[in-house]
Amino acid sequence: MLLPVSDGRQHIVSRAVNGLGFSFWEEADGGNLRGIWVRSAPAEECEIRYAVTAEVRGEVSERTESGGAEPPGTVDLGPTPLIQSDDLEIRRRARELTAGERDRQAVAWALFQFVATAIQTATGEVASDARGVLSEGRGNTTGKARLLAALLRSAGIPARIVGGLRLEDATKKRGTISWVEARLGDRWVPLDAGGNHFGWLPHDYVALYRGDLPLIVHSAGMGVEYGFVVRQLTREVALGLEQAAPGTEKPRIEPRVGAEQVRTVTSYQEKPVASALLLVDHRVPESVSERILKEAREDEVNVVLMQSRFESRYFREQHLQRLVSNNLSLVSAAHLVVIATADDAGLYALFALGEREVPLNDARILISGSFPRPVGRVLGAVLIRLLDAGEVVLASRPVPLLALWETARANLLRGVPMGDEARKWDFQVFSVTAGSSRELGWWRAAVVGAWARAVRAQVPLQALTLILVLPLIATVIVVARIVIGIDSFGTFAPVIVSLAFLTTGLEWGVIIFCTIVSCGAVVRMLLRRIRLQLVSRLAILVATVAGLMAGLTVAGASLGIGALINVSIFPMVIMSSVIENFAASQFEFGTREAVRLTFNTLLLACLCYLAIERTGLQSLLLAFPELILVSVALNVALGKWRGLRVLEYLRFRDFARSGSVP
Amino acid sequence: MIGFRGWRRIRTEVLGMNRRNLDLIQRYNEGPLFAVVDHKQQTKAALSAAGLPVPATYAMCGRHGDLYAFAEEMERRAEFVLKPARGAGGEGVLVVAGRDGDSFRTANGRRIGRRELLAHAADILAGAYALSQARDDAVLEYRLRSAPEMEPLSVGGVADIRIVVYRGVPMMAMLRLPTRASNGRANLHSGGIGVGLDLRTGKTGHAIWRGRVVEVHPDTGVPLRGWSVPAWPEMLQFAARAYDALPLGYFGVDIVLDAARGPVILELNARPGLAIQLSTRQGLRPLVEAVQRVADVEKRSAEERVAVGLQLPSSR
Repeated sequence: MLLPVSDGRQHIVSRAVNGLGFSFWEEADGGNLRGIWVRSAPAEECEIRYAVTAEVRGEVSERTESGGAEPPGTVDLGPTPLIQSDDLEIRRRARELTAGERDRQAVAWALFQFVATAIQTATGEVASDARGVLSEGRGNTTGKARLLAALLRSAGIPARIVGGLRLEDATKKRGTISWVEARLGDRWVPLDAGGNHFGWLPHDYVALYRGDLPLIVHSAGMGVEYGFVVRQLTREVALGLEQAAPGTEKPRIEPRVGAEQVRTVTSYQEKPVASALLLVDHRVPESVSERILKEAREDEVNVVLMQSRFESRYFREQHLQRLVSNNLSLVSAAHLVVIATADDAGLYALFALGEREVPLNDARILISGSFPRPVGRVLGAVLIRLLDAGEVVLASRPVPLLALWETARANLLRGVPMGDEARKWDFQVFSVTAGSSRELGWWRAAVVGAWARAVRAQVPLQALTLILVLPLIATVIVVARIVIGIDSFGTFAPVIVSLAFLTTGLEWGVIIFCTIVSCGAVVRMLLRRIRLQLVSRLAILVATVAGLMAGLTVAGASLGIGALINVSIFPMVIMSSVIENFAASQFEFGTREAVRLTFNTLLLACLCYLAIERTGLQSLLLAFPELILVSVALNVALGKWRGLRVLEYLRFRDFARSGSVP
Repeated sequence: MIGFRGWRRIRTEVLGMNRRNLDLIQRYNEGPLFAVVDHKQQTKAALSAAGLPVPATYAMCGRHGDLYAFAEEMERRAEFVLKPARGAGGEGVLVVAGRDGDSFRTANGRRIGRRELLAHAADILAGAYALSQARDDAVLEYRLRSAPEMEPLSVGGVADIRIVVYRGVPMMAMLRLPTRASNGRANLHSGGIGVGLDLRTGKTGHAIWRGRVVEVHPDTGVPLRGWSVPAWPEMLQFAARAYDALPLGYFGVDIVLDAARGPVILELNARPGLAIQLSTRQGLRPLVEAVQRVADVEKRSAEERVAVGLQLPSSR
């Protein structure tokens, strides 16, 4: 079933689901939200209820956006079997109606007028496709909407069907209605030919989904009956309702590009004995989530399992935090929070709670990921300090979700210490409590206090860790230069490039880097002919890089490549100077040498990226910021080092043989 | 396979980048003199004041207003080089080899008018060939030509001799040859050939090209071993005397054997590369250490310092 989402006109205040014996999850599907109920055992007749409290803004004026903000795609222009915008009759009619009109607003008005007045509104057995409605001269709201959409599309205006509900009489059982949203200028404008509303909608219209879709799809061989119950609430009552039943409030999922990576599976009880939240950074196999839901039902435990998957660590961390902050009431009501990540991102997921000063009141937190134990101890102490959690239990390597769940479940229901249960599942945990974090030395306690205060003050910890990690990464470059002998363009250009890789991921980062440098080198070659001064040359290169990045971003958006959408964070000026350096060394030493240096720059950037991304250095520095002093000492030693570089041994290898040559 | 002794020899004899930077360049080559060596025209002035031969500068021009006086200088000559003072990699260098009545003839046979030459000089002033500066000076200079003795080894350019001088003592020498791949430049990075020279005799030995040993010139097939560089004792003297003119602790002197004027110092380099060790198959480290054992070597005369250089331990 398609479920309503918040858009420019309506705000979904709360959602509650009630379907005993069903597991339920929500999936973003294009701009829509799809709710799925599954029941494994065959059952007699039963009832599922899904309650939505929506706040609808008053009448939309022509200046406000009605629909979701997403730009129109090709589907909003092309013909479909029911919206035959390529049909000759429809095209002819559209041409006739809009003859001489160029203004899109006026074209839309002419077509709307025709459908709203010349086509009768009918119920019962009538044609519901655009062609049929046009030839019969009558149709229901859906048929009229389809005809209007077909006419608009054939006139070149993107248009889409919206399925919705009219909240008129509380007692009546009603079906859905349809209207059209047309893209006029840069916004979607509602055109309701059935109700005769052009450019606005009454406040009793609620949009359920966008697109010419069926509201409900079900498995074959069963009967489904459905209806809508409408009740009017005051704002206070609605908000109070939300407060009163936090356990049953549904997660708010804002559908957006790439959001299909988020998937939520839940199981709810009438009177739960406890509630648990599971947060995972990968897709959990169906069999595992099924088993978890089944066990949760048997134990009468409420479970929410949220899964998200992201290309780069940077976004994983950010996204886990956002998932938590979007579901604050759910998280704060949980007795147990389990977080499973591949790296150390899990340690940061709950910082969003601290940022909003939402305490976890004695709840237990179980986090698995890969991080050194001492790091876990310090960051666990930060969590305790921030959240008043009862206990933070950490596993310093990634553990399968099922093992974590069973450990947590035994602890929740039978009070088995997590350490004991974990051993049965072949993994080890260590725990951080308020007591144990008091035993840290004064310096470590000060660090914990500082980070806790920083998170409360909404300091983005991620930016902070990047700052802390930079001296160590610079040291990596120093080692590569002085000990190994890899030279590159600009001393620390590779560091900056590697930071850009953090947002795009390694593979796409390398592809983007190569694309920009090679295109830039070509432009630089052309510039050579028209001899310009250095500053103008650089400015033109910046323009080239900017154009390329804008192009890549748009390409990424239309091809659905998430990594490319983030390309705009790529450092333009550094890339321009890499191109200029490339050209300079090409003139001075030839293409061979220039390509070699570019390759080295890329190699070092990858090295730095791996050092930041794959080693958990960021968490290490957050836990032990004094490591920066170690990097200083290391650089003093390296700066005084007189030995041969590794590559120099290779370069002079002939020399070693010549000892025997006469 | 390279045995333990081979590795040991590299470790103890080869002068690496780290040691060169710390013990030679940072220790001796900091300060105002370094800036002089970086500026070709200032270097030439200092060397020429000390009585050393350098390619004569006919005229220099730094402002558009001086261009006409500059053009007068060109008008008076049949052969010259017009180039940017701070250009890199041979960009913007125009070699004029003769006259055809009113117009000029370039080294590769193209006819070029007076107006075109002026336009080129104006481009130089606007910084069109400078890699990092916004503007530049135009230089009118003596045109160097390879001496007939060096002709068989010079392909499409002029060969030069690089001598590394440490505290005034010439330590090691290499003949650098342009190739087709190097575009007339003798720089090893650009694809030039480095031929090791015997410091005592000026005779050619091993040669390296792009980091590998070669026996013959890759373009012409001419054997590279066994040539004698003419005027060798004079070149060593010039190298030692360059230190008196510009007392930098560690530099490389580039000398060209000109057809008309004999050895001429082209430029000094305050960061000479390390590949010279490959071409001579000899490490610089034992030589540096030997010079350090000679007391007050800087205070000796140029002749004495050349003698010190010739007595340095040699591996063969």
